[in-house]
Amino acid sequence: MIKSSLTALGTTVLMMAFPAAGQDTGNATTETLSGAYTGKAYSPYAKRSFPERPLWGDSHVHTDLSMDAGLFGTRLSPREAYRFARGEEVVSSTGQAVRLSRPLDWLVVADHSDGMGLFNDLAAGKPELLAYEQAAGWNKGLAAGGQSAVAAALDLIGTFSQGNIDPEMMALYAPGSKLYKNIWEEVVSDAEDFNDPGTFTALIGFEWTSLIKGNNMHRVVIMRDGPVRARQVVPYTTQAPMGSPDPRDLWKYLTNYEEKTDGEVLAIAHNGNLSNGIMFPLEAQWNGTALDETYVTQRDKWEPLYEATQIKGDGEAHPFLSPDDEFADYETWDIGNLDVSEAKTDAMLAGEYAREALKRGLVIESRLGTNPYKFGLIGATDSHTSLATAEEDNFFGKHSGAEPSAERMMHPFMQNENGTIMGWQQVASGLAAIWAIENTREAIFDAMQRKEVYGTTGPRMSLRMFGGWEYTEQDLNSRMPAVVGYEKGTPMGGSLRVKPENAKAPSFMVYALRDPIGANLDRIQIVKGWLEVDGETREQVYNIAWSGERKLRRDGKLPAVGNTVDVANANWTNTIGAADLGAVWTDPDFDPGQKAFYYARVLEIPTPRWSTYDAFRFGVDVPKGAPTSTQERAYSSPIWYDPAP
Amino acid sequence: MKHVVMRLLREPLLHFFAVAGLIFLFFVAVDDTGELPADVIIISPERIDQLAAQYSAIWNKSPTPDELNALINEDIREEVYYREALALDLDKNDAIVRRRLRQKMEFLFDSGAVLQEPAAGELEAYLASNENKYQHASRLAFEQIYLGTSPDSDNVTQSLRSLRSSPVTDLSGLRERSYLPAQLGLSSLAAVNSTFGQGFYERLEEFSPETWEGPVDSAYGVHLVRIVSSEPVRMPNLDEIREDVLRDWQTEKAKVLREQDYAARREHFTIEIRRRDNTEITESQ
Repeated sequence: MIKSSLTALGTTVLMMAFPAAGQDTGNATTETLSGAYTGKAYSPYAKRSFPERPLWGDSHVHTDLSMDAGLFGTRLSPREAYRFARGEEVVSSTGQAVRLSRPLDWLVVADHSDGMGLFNDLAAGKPELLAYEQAAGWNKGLAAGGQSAVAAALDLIGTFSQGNIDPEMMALYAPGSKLYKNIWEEVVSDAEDFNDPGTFTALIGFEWTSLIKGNNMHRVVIMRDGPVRARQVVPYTTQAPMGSPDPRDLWKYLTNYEEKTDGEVLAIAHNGNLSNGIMFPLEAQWNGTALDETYVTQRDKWEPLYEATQIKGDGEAHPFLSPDDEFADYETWDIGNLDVSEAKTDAMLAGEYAREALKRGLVIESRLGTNPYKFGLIGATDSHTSLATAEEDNFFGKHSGAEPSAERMMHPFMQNENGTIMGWQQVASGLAAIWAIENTREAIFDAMQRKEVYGTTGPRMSLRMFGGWEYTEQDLNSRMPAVVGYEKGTPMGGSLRVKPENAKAPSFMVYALRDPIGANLDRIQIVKGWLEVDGETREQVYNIAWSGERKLRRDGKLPAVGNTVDVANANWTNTIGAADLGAVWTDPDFDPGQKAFYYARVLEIPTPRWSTYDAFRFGVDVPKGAPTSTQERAYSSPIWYDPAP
Repeated sequence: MKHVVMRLLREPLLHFFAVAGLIFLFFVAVDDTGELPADVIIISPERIDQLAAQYSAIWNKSPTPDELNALINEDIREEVYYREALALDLDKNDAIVRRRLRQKMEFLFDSGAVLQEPAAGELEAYLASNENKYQHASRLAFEQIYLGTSPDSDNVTQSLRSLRSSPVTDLSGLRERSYLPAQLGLSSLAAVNSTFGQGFYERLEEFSPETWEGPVDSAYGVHLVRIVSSEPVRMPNLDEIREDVLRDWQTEKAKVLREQDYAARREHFTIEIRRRDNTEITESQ
């Protein structure tokens, strides 16, 4: 009784969180589709009722407004970030011409809210700032350039990390100050200037940079709205007295935003892999407070997506948690937390990786009635150069100090007594693909809310996934499988419809196309996680479609696709793999009594890793320990099954 | 006579001079320090409220009596030094003071200039001379049939012929399995090429509408294509984009007016530039 009312409450909250999913976006339903498609080859084109192609973008780019970016030498502003994302050539902070292979469809400039704009003003010598002794000193050093500038930057970092910054000066760059409000207004109007509905979307956002003793709980906040609403607030920070590092306080801010402006907003967490176990708690949150109904409903409401892959490591799965998955150890960063101030232990891993969190969510849902980790998956760069680069052959690094140079691979990225992360370990990842009806703030945000999105480690492969009870091989081979996909079931990010009496097991129609200018595909897999009767969670990876004549072995594993990478010349050929793959897959181990989720993972054939391109272009050795090739991948948002929805 | 007055009243320059004048008067009115003897410092109740408000804006709480005391003393200290500094002419030739005063002047002017409203025909003229900035790119809507990576050329010709002869043909026999969208609504070059590969849109532009055409190569293989509708490069009419045009026009206008204002002010001065090498000085724009 208690459980069912909790479930009902959870459902109510869920419906409140996604009011737009069923209305504004023209989300496909049987009626809309059967009206639009009469089964003949000709269809009305003007009225598109479901998305035709994914919209590519980066939800997480930092510019010179972020203090750490500025410190590392980034001089490009949000305006350059937008220009670059929409396909223009720009000159990077280190003076190198750079351009994307193709434009992105949308971008979120997400600068750190704490100290936003401070470094810029220091460098520029803003009069209000120079009144402070500390600022005047740093400004003098920065203006002198060369070693004095480096010394000033180091002194600045030291002063900050020891908390010795003049609090009154810091307060100028925090909520409550007019200066801070002005900086935010400029962020908003820059987005507005570059937002071009139908062609290029600039969503308004920022990053809330919660760090608990070096343990990462960062979230990117994204608004659905334009300047009128965005200007009614300023970004939420983590420093007292105005801010807080507690996600519960962030959720209050988000609630307040929607109440105050009548707008909509969401938050996307990232780098659980650097949280030392506190990103996805099972029992109690970071400060020991037990998870309760508020925590689970609020997290479910505000955090529909998780950024599972980016420059600081891939966070889908970890080999310790998924020992049977031979692809789980992909670009893993597991030495410690964000600043490596505390080393990692195995016990922390379960609170850090997306797949395990999806499993934990099922456990918590059966205990508290709501699944706090019912999130879709995306990738983003988290680049601090204003440049959204995620391609192996066009990678501009985490920050301006890591822009292309002969030495960048061998510079330690992070180093102390707990370990070292080398420059070459940065990951040229990732991007988000959004199945939105049109290229606008509203449509992209609504698709994020309904989780009809997926992430890749950089390449732009197209990926569709539908879950239902009656998909057939013919559906997949029809002229427009997506029409049948929406008609018979739910797209990625949704929940399976109620099981019909006679249905034995759910079927999933999954298909993928390689990046038009990229590598062929190796295989499509379904990752399933479920909750056993004994309360334990399990997982299983199924190969469902693959290239060539390979045969599944008895244990379900597939022989490797091969490798055409020519390391010396940083080259490869599309002579192996397939341009597209697809399958209708029915769960052979389905138990109608068990909560479960299913998501698709698509692997490309091996291609040169960015470090291999660097070695070739700069005439240096591939660093010891660096893989010479990489199998890039896409992660779909899951589809959930609940025995008693 | 009446016409002249009306025209004057509609003259934008007059409007912002009026607004700027009002703002100036406001500053003069609220600035009460000027009327006092040089050796008296009065901290008014309004000033104390202001100090308290500034404090709460930063610290999110009201100051305690002690804190308020400190704020007031700090304010007096600032005022003392400020007046003494003025007496010693320390504001002269100070780069920061100069920059700040220039900012204030420009701000005074700009706050009037943004209120500009265009006269009849002005926006139209602006739009006409900035067409490139506003025109919509061309778009195509089409459907396509995928024939595989290397279809037999006789087969391609045959398929094309039968498609052209009867508009509703059962396509299932012709096409190879493909997950590319079978049809795409009105889409730009970037959207089409991001799905089918570079150069695809450009080929489509050569095709005549409503008939099956091809074969055409994409990144994935060979296709037959039928253009369903197209939209050429289009100049939106003013009403669709009035807001954008108005904003840009105002920005530009403000810039021009600021330059005019500067030029007018500069007129008051005789400027001599004495260079050691006696070279001519060119007026900057």
